[in-house]
Amino acid sequence: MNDNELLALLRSDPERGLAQIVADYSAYVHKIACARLSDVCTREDIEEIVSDIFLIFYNTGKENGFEIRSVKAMLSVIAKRRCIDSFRSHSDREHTASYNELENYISDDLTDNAYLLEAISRLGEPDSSIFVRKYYFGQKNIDIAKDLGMNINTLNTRLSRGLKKLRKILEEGQ
Amino acid sequence: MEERLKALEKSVSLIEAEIIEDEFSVISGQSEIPEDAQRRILSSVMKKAGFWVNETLPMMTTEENGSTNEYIIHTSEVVRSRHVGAIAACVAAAAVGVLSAVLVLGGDIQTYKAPNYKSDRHEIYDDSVPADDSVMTEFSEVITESAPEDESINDESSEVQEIVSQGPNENQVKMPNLVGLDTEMAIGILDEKDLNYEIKYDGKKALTSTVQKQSVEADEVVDKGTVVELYVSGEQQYLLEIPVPVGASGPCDFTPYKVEDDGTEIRMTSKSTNRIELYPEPTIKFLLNAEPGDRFVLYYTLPDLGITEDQLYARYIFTDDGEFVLDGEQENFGSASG
Repeated sequence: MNDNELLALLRSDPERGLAQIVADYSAYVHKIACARLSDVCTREDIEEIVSDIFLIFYNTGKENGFEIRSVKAMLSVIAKRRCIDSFRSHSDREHTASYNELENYISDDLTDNAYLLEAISRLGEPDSSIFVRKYYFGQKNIDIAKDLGMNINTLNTRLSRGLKKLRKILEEGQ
Repeated sequence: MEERLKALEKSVSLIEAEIIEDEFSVISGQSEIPEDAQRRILSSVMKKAGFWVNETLPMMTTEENGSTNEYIIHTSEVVRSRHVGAIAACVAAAAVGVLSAVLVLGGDIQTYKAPNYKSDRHEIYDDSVPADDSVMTEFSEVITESAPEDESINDESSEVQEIVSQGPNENQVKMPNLVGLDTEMAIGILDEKDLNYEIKYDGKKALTSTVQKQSVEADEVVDKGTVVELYVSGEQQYLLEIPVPVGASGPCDFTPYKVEDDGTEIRMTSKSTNRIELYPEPTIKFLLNAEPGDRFVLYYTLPDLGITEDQLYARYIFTDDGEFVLDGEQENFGSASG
């Protein structure tokens, strides 16, 4: 089921739509959460956080009739924000932000990061997604290599070459 | 450069995220999650969203009537049922002349005396209140607030209007909004709701056939079996139905191909399910563009049974009668497959 179909289902039948979103994207969101939180949270905590992420997605989407440009982008941002918050609360023992606060954290601003992300996107696969894993989601090199069935040395070489290529892309763009 | 890259970890901008959407797709495609973890997450989300109260797996659980959703109890309704259940208990007690009733609302126990009342019972259908629970009584306001003084309701000539739910009207269903949905998905939803359909194609070439208009408005309550006209985009398509393979289990993917005159096989669409053994429908349906004489072949994969490469399921010929007929044998996974 593609994203347009998923969003249409969420509008016509929210219950099935939400269940379908979880079925389609729980592996992805779980991956994002594990990348950031596996050192500080238990497996159970991570699963609860993943379920929070879907709930925030659902509540946020419901407010605007599920007019969402990109399901993956929306889930990614919510997941990042929720993981950052959980990381802080588990590290500093601070109070976790409420759902409403979290929803407000989804920013529509464009910052300098946009140029860098465009440059990463131009690296091409598999380098672009390796960079997104490492620098956008904070996944460890060893875990990226494991996910991709790649030797750690190969991954390090790719990152090193990718950095050079990235510099070049950015310089050319200026 | 490293500093700039590290700053990306703090980016929570939606517009920025959309720039790397393709990379998200790649990562998503490479991600896996254990089935039990997915089940726990699904259960937790649905409970938090107020959809479920039980540890059940939704779309993949089938009830006797084949419906996928009817077993789900909405949290809000459970609260309401408990609430009206208490009201019903109170009214019932009042109606038979019992002098005291105990209300349990939100954990608070309140007791008050109730006088003799005549009871006037009405029955209605209500989708959200279980059968035999009260939907409404004259006492509802008094009961939900504080325990009333005896005198305030001590009028023996009063008549209690008790409206009792007969539960959902099982012969009627609420029409879903199908506009914008893929046509195959739309007919799947209509099947689940026991509604019939007639598809009218606009005849224009389209990559995906989607519903443009439906003859029954969304949310309208109609009798089961009602024929709903779906006005969809795309050229005429025909239904190929295969029985859900009983002997199969685990994730499953079915892909039909059209066989050209030179033997070339052209992929048409695909159907995937995470748990084929719990697929809610008795058949898997494909809508295919076809002309009389066209030949088709259907392949499947079943990783849990060690079948990870496309395996032949069956061949079909499309006839002048507008039907797909088997051309040879059909794989039955070692069991009767209907």
